[in-house]
Amino acid sequence: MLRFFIIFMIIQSVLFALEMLHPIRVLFVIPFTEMIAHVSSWIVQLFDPDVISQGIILQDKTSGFAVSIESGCNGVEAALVLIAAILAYPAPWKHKLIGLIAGLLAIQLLNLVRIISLFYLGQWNQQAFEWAHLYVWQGLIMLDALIVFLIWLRTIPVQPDSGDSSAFETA
Amino acid sequence: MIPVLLKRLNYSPLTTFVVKVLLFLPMCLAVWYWLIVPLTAPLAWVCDWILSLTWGRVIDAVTLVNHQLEISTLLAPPGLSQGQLASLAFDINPLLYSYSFPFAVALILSTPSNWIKTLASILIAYIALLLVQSWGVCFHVAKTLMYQSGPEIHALLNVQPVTYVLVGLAYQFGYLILPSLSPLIVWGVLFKQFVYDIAPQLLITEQRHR
Repeated sequence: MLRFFIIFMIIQSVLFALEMLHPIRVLFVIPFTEMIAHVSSWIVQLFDPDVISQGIILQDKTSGFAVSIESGCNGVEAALVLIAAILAYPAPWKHKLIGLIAGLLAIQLLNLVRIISLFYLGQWNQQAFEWAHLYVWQGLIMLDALIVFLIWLRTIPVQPDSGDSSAFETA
Repeated sequence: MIPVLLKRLNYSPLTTFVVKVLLFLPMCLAVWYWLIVPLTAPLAWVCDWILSLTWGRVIDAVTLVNHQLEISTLLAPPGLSQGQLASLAFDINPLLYSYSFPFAVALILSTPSNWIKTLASILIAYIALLLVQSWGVCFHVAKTLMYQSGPEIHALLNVQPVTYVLVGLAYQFGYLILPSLSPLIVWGVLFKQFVYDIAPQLLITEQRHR
């Protein structure tokens, strides 16, 4: 567990530092966040045609209410935590790849629920929006990453002990 | 009642755990907000101690005023005319960092255990998370002074460019990652056996690596 934790923290720190680099933000984080805003507006338009997205902003054309999807709200940090955990765990690469694809999808799906729920919560009550935005959803998204990681762990086949650890590739 | 129902319906320990977390969470958040002043007072003391020790020439005191941490500095605000006495002060919302605690309590209460271990775990989690929250608040203070207080203050602080980068990174890590990740890590360490029960692969891998 200690070995896993140390590797996890190293990978997590490196990924987070990379995420903060200006070129990475311009080339990946901002376009990705814009895509999330676009997908959110596309989903919302299925039942509310007045909602549009512009860049990282989701806006109601009628009321003018808008939310800006910033760092911490785009699901990237939770994704980085999951990536670090899966990479740090000694498992076959095929399983790691499956875990990463399914896990990142699960995080982003819940993140879309977060963005859309916050968008409507903000129009209903500013205090409820602040609470859900700052305290509740942050933890829920990370809890989602934990659940995905635990489910992924359960799917890794347990191979008979051959006396060494070569049954698992190391990260 | 719902956990018992889940058990009868033969749900996995993971499903039961997740449902219990989601049920306990609103209650934990409500109790945390109700007790926010006594729960946050130690955070103010720890941050006051750390900042006085490390940045005593800049920070005068960290005090809890209602739900806010008030940071009093020894720096004069920009634009002060001669003869005027004032020092720069600003507020930080400690809830941005301390919401990790109700999450940890929800995780602990959702894990099968006896009440003594549950209470002890809540206490340990509180102390461990207090240190993590202190990281967040201290770097929030440093970020506010170094990035948001104007060129006069920057000149007084006389900080190296690399320190700006490191403080910015530490602040972002303390704000975006640590408050939500730390309760999961504390819970995982405190209830290792339960994590092994949920995912036996973890125990097998650990035994192989010994």
